[in-house]
Amino acid sequence: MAAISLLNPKAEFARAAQALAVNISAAKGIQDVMKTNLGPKGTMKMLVSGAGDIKITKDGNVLLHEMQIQHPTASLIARASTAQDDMTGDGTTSTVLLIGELLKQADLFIAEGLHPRILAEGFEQARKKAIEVLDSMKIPVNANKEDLLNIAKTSQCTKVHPKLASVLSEVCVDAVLSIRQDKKPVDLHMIEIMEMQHKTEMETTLVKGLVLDHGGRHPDMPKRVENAYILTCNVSMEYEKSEVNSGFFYKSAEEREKLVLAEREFIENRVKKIIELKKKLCDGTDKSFVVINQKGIDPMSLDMLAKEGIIGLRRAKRRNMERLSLACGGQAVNSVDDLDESSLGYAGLVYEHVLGENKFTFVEECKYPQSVTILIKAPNKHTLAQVKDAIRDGLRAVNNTLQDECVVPGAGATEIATHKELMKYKDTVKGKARLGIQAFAEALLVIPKTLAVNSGFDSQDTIVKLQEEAVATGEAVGLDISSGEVLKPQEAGIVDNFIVKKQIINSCTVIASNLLLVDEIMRAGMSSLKG
Amino acid sequence: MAATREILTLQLGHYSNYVGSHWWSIQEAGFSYAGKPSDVDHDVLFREGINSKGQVTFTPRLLLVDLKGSLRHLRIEGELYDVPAPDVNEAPWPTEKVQVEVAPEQPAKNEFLKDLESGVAGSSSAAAGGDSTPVPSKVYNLDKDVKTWTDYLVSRFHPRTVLVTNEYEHQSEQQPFDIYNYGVNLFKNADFEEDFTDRIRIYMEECDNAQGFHIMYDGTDGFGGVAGSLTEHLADEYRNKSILGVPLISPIGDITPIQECVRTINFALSLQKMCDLASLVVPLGTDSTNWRSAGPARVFPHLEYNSTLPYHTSAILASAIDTFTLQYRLKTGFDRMSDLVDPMRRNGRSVASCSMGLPFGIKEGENLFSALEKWEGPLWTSITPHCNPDMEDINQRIWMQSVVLRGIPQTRLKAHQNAEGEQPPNPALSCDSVKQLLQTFLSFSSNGTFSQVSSSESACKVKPPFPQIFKPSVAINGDILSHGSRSELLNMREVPVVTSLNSCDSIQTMIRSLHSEIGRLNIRRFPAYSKAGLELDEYEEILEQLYSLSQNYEEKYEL
Repeated sequence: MAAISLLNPKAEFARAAQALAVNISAAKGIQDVMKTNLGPKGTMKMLVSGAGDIKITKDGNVLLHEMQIQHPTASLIARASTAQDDMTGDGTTSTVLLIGELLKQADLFIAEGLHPRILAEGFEQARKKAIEVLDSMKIPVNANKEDLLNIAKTSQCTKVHPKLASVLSEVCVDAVLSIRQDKKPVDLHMIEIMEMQHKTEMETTLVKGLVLDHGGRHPDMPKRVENAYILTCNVSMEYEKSEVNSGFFYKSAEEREKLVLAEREFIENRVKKIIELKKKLCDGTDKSFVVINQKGIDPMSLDMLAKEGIIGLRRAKRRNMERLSLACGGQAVNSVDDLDESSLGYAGLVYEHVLGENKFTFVEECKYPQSVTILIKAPNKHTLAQVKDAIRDGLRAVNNTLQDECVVPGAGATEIATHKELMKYKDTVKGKARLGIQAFAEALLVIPKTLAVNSGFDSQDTIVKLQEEAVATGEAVGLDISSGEVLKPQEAGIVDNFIVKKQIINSCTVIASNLLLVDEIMRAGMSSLKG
Repeated sequence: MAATREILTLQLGHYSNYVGSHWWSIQEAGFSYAGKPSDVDHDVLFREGINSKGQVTFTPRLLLVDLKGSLRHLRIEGELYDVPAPDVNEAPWPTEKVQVEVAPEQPAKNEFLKDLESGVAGSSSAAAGGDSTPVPSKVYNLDKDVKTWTDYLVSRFHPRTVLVTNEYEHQSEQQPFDIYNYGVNLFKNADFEEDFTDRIRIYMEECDNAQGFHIMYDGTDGFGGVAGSLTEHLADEYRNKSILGVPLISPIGDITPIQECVRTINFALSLQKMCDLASLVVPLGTDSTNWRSAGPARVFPHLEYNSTLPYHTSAILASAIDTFTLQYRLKTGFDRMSDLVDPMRRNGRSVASCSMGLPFGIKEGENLFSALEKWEGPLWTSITPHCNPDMEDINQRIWMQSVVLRGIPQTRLKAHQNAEGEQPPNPALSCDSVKQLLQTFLSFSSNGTFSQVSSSESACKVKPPFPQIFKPSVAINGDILSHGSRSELLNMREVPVVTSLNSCDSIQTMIRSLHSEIGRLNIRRFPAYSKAGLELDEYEEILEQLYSLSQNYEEKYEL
C-alpha cells in the first residue's frame, strides 16, 4: 500500500517497476509515432480533422503541437522536445527518438536488476563525454554564403521536398545575410514573413524591403509610385469621439454637427501638416510621398491625401514601424509637429498588388535595407503554413550557425563517432556506471538506424558498415540516404547546428534520467481540481 | 456622418460561441431580400468581401476563439473562400511516404444542419420573410442533438474568423482551461498573440469609421484571462474606441465544489480587469444568483426553458444582446456605441445590468398605449445575476437606463382618435412614435431615472435554430394569445422584445456579494493560480479594487 492511499483513498498510483513501465511504454509510444518522420526520406504526415481541415507536415515540432497527447509522461517528453524547438528551431524528432531509446536501453539493464540510480549516473558521465566528442568534431565556418547554404539545406531537407528546400534555403540565407551587421547579433524579428495565397510555393521569394498586408483605401490614390519619401508615423488621422462630445451635451442634431466639425478641424490640421511637407519636398521634382500610419486614417483624411497624390496606409503593424525605419531609413514619428526631411525614409518603388479582397503593398528598392521580407506564396492555406514553419526553422538554423561560428557533420556522423568514443571511454570507467555509459552509447545509434530504415535500408547492415569505415578512416562518416553507402558529410555538404546537437544530448539525458528515477506515480490532490 | 459605424465582435470561449451562434442567426434571419428594407443597419456587424472566385460574400465581422476539438464539423477556414480539398497526391512527396491520419470520429450532422446544407431550411426562411400567411414548415427539436455551438450554426464565416488554440483541448480532464491566469498566459504566447492581434488589425484596417468592439467572453474560465489581456491590448492600440465587455455566465452544470470556487474566482478576476479597461461591462447569465452554486433560474412569464441547457439559455442571452445593441445599429439615427456607454460609466460605474422582456408581452390585437396603460408588474426580467433592479421600489436607485423596444410597428402605437380637436385625456396620447410613448411612460413610472429610449420596427427573429422555448400561448408573431394556443406545426417567426440596460445600485449588491464570496476563499488552497503566475499581493489588490468599484455605486460619493 502506498502511503498516499492512507491520506487520500481516492488517489491513483503506480509504484516502482510499474511506474517505470508506465514511463517507458509512454516514451516508446511517442517514439513510434515520430520515428518514421526522421530525415529527408521520412514520411510526410497529413492530418485531417473531423471537419476536413488538413495539415501536412513532417516537422516534429508541428506534429507534437497538433497531436492530442493524453498520457502525462508522453506529454512531458513532448514538452521537452518542443522546448528544444523553441530554443534552437530544430531537432525535435531526434529528441523524442533519443529519449525513447535511452529508456529502452535502460530497461534492458533494469530488467537484469541494475538500480536506475546507477544508470542515471552513467548517463551523466556519458553526457559529459559526448559533449567533449561533439566539441572535437566542430568545423569552423565563416559567414559565407556557401557554408550557410549547406546548413540551411540540411535543415530544410528534413521538412520539405528537396526542390523546395533549395529555394527556401537560398531565401533564408539571403535574408539573414542582408540584415546582418558585423559583430552584432541578428534580430530575426526584423525579417517579416508575409503570406500570399497565390501561385505555387516554388515562387516564395525574398523582398529586399517590406511587404505590407494592406493598401491605400481610396480609389484615387496612386497604385504605384517611384522615388518615394516614406513617412512612418503613429498619429491618429481619424475623427474620434471625445468624452465631451458624447452623451447629453448637445440639444440638437445641428449642434452635434457643429461639435463634430470643430473636432474634425483638429484632425484636418494634422493632415495639412503632412501635405505641407510633401509640397515642400516633392513638388516640382519627380519624387513622391507615402504615409504609413500605425493608427487609423478616416475617409476624409484619405481624400485629402489622395488629392495630393500621396499614398496613405493605415493601421500598419506595430512591429512594422521598427522594420520600416530599418528598411527605408528615417524614423517613426509620434507627432506631425516639427516634421522635416530627416525623419523620412526612402524607397525606390512602392506599389500595390491586389489579390481578391486582399491588398499588398510592396516597399522596395530601399538603399540599405536592414529589414527584409520573405514573401511566401502557395496555392492553399496548409501549404502556406508548412512553408512558414520551414522558413522559421531555416532562419534559426542560419542564425545558430552565425552564433556558433561552427557546425558539426550531419547524416548520423556525430552519433557514430560519439558511440565509438563512448565505447572506448567505458573501459576506463570503473564500477557499474559503465553500464549506463554503454546504454547511452547504444541509444545514440537510434538516429543513424532510423535514418537507414526510413530510407529503405537494413539498419544492422548500415550501422556495421558505418562503424567499420569510422574505425578504418578515423574520420567523421555518415550515411548516404540515396545509396545506403558511407559518405563524408562534410564533403557532401550535410552539416548540422552544433547547438542543436548539444542541446539534444543535454536535454535528453536529463529527461531520461528523471523518468528513470521515478518510482511512484500518483494522481491526487487539489491541482487536478477533481476534488 | 453617413459612413457605416463598424463594430468588431469578439467571441472568446465556448459558451460565448453558443450565444454568438444564436445571435448571428437571429441577425441573418432579419435580412430582408425583398420588400421593405429592415431598419437595422447590418453593415455595422457584417462585412462585405470577395472570395477567390469573385463572388461577393457577406460575413460577420467577427473573430472567435475556441479550444481544440470543439468545432466538430465546422471547418476553420470556412466554406465561402474554399479552395478544392487537396488530396494525398498533392503533397509534394512520394505518395508511399505520406501517412494520412484522419480524425477518428466524423460526427454526424443533425437534421437541421442537413436541411440547411441541402437548402430546405434556407428556402423556407426566405419565403417566410416576405408575406404574412404562416407557412407550415419543418419544426425541429434540437434540444438533444446540440452538443456544441456548431450544431446549429447558420452563418458562414470568413476564413479570418475562427481561431482555435492548440494549447488546450475542449473538455479536457487532464489539462482543463479553467484558470484565469491560463488565459493570461495564453495571450502572452507570442504566436497566439501575434495571430490574434493581427487579425483584429486587418479587420480594423478595413473600417472607415469604426465605433468599437463587442467582447463576449466566458467569464468563469480561462477565457476571462484572454479577454482581460485582449482588452488591455485594444485599449492601448485602439484608443478612443468603445469597448463593450459582456462576460457570460454559463449554466453551472455538474461540477465539484472546488470547480465552483474556481469559477467564482475567475469571474471576479476577469470582472475587475474588464471594469478597469473596457468602456462598459454587462454581465449576463440566466441564473438569479451564481457565485458557487446557482440560484433558481430567472423566470420569464411567457417562456418555458431548460436552464441547464446552454442551447436554451444562450438563445435568451443572444436575443438580449441583439436588442440592446440596436441603439447604435439602426439605419435611422446616428447614435454611436459611445453614446450608450460613456454616460453609463460616469462616476466609474462601469458595470451595468441588463433586463429583458422576451417576448415583450403585448396581447393580441392590443396597441402599445393600452398595453402600457394596463401593464401590471415589471416590464422585464433581469438577466444579470444578483441584480434585481426594480423601477417601482422606491428604496432602489436606478440612475440611468437605456431601453430598446423592438417589433412594435407605428401602426400599433395607439387606437385611432375619432374625434378631432378633442383634448387628449392623457398626455401620453399626444405621443406620435413608439420611442416617445415609451419615454413618456418610463418618465412616469420610474423614480428619478434618466431613460434613453430607442425603438425599432423589426422584431427579433426566432425561427429555427432558435429553440422552442415559448409557451403555447405565444403566437408566432410574438403576441400573447388571450385564449387558445398556437399550432404545434408552426415555427415561431418573430417576437417583440424589450431590453433595458441599467446603471443602478443593485449592481453594488452584486459586486459586494462577489467580493465577500471570494473573500471567504483562501487563494492558497488553489495552487493552480500561483503556479500560473498569480501573486498573492496582486490577488489582494484585485479584491480591494473590486471593493472600491462597488463603492462607486454609493450615492453619497456622487458630486
